[in-house]
Amino acid sequence: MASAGSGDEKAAAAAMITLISSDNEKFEVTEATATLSQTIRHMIEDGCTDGGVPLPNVTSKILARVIEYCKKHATAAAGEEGSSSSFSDAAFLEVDRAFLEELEEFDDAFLEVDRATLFDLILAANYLDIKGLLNLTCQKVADSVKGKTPEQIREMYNIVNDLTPEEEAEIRRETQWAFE
Amino acid sequence: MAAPPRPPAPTLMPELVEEILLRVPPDDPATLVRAALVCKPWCRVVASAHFRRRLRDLRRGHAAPLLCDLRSRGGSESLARFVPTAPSSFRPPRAADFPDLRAHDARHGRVLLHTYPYGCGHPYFAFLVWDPATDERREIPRPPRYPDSWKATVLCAATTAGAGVCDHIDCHRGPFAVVFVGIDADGGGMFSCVYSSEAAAWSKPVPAEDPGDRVGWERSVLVGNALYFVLEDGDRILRYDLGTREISVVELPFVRINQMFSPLEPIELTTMEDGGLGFVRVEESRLCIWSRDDEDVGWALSKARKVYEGSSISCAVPYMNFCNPVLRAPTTDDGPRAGASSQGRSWAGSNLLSQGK
Repeated sequence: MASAGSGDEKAAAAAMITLISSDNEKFEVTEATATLSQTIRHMIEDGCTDGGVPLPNVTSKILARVIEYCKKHATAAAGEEGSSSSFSDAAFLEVDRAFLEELEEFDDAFLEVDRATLFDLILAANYLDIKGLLNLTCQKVADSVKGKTPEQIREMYNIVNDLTPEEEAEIRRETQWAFE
Repeated sequence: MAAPPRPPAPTLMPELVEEILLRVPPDDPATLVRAALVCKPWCRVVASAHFRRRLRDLRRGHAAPLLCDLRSRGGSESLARFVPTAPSSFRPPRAADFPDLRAHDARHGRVLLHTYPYGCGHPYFAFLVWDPATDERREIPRPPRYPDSWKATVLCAATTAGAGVCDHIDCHRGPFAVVFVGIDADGGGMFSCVYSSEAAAWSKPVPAEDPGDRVGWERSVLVGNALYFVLEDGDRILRYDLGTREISVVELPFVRINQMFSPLEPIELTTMEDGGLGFVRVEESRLCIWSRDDEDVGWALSKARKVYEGSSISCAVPYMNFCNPVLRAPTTDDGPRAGASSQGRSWAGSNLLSQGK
């Protein structure tokens, strides 16, 4: 649609970016998808994406998931059916409720991952600066620890307890009510 | 310790653990405490002043969660009891039953209890100010005069210095004041006095014009720089100016019942969503919420709802508070013991906002 012209936003729909995972796998994504990541958006603005964007902190397995998230949410931001390739506020507001519900369902299904993957997604969302994904994944972990004992949380996320027995006993003594 | 079959989960940086724990709901401080016991890095996050500040800032502007009721049982033996609200995991550090005391008021993280029967039971004090988060208890002597009807209100001492001086997010360990308004039926008139926790004494009573009524025990509310008290007859309320310590009378609109205008209906004072003054009254089986207009000159009916049946509890003081635990930060593996003294005791960050409900 967008032919020549310097309209960055129009061109963005067509422009492709190559993302390179830590294990050297290449992913071709649209600029609209990639720019959900503030980190990549800045790289694009600085014009340093030629030859691909190396992401040494993200494995291909996690990057594939992150891209899946960004694709879905970039579509949401752009509005439905490609009626407009720019994401104006009006287009965003026109996104109807059914679509938002679908997005919620997508998010729920997206979070059905094992816990190590969930932590990896948090790390990737943080590194790539994708606010929505960071919020989604952190909220998932926060919800999952609700009502759990420290032992259960350690078990769930495979965390090693490095508190000394004395430290643990002292905190427990001070906060006995939280364990009743 | 025991080598698990699966690889350890990736380690999250403290700022990411913080992002997770910031999303624990505000009425669930127990989850934060338990999360702190997972490992040292998690404990350090929960114990850090930075985390508390962010948690507080995140919740600023929201109504504090209702953490418990303090229920008082009447009858021959009197007992005030801490009853947590269903979703809240907050609990005071030790058992909180108060024999011979009744819950009277709660605000800015503190609960005011009074001896019951009034003036008996405890020969040395008339009130107890309790901080449910730290379990600090402070006995307060009898006020200088002993009227037939009275109402006492506890608040952060900064409030008496002017509205807006303190945001009451984290002042519950600081100085407090108790404002006491009494009316003597036998011609002694109305007066007020203020207990200051810093001075550990009551001020001299300040006389005020006798409204010819009794002060009600209903909840007083703080709006701006004034406290409002209910009078028993229900057609007027008292406005106590925290700056000048003067009391004035505010008329209430009449209620229409069965084609008659009747002023004598019980009311409950409240604060409106915009922080202004309001009151609730049952008018012909409707629950009506009246609000004071911006210029503080008139009343407007802002909502009316169908009435529901109440329970038979004689008195319940809602305790609404932000509460997040402060723990001693654990040692780092290679460093000296850190944080033990800087964090003080085990709780901080409480605030009680008596928002109208």
